[in-house]
Amino acid sequence: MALNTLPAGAFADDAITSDKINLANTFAFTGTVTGTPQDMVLLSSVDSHTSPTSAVVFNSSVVDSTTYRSFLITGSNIYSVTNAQGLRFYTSHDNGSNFNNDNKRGQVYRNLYSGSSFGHEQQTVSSSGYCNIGGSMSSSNNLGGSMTLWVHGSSKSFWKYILYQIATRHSGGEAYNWNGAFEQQNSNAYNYFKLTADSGNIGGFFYLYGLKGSA
Amino acid sequence: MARDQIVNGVRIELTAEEEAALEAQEAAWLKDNPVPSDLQLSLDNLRLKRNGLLAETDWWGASDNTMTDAQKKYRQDLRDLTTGLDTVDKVNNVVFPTKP
Repeated sequence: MALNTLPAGAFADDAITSDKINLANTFAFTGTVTGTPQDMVLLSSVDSHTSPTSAVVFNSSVVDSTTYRSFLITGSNIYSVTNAQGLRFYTSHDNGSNFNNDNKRGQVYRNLYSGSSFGHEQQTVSSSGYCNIGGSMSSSNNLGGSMTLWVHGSSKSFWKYILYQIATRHSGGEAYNWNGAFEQQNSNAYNYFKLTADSGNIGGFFYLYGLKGSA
Repeated sequence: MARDQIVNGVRIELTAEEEAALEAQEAAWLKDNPVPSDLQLSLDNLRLKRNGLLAETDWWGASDNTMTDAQKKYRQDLRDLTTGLDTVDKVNNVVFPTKP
């Protein structure tokens, strides 16, 4: 008779350890795995530091607003190959066929070297399909900046409010930090994000994460 | 060398048409927003710092406050800070006035 049930207490709780299981095997779990949170998932990563590119794109293959309620984009060692170019962020709800307009952006900036240099600025962009996040970047690839950008409620049929923080070497020579947000008067679910420089290629390391949520 | 874009982590070379469109778009941008010279960038940076210092003392001009001559001179010196700066070296060696 085949044995398919182990009697209770047949093994001590710690009897089976990782060196008793063939870890090279594939185990086809059909149930629900619990205890390993998958609420924040790395969806895509990009290395354009050594070989800069014209655009860093995350399309509908990874930007799935029905699965993820929020998206986080991080970047490090970001620089523009052409000096003094701004960083652009585009969103789309039709996989890049059209970009979302009606952007209203506000940001504050401060010099990391001199506490007296700070300010704020507002901008309305109604037709170009992107928002500039941060200020003009240095072209020094060993002085590249860091960024964090959040897109919340990307599946919701409400306007979107996108939050970002960037610190980078300013083309003028010193380092700056920009904190900002922009409003996109768009009620569609997003499925495409793109980062570029104003002109020329962009270098850096970029990561897209998705955060799940039931609501 | 053809330019590319990176889609979901995969590098994809632009088609000739895509590259031509991108180059045209960038040329139009640069026409209206030329890459500033090193001198211009240095001056921009200096002005950002100068404007911050002026903003710090804006309250001196409030209607219920009378500025001293030293305060007036400090703010005027800040405003005049960029006068005659025609080289990066001069910009880098600017001495800011001392706040009274």
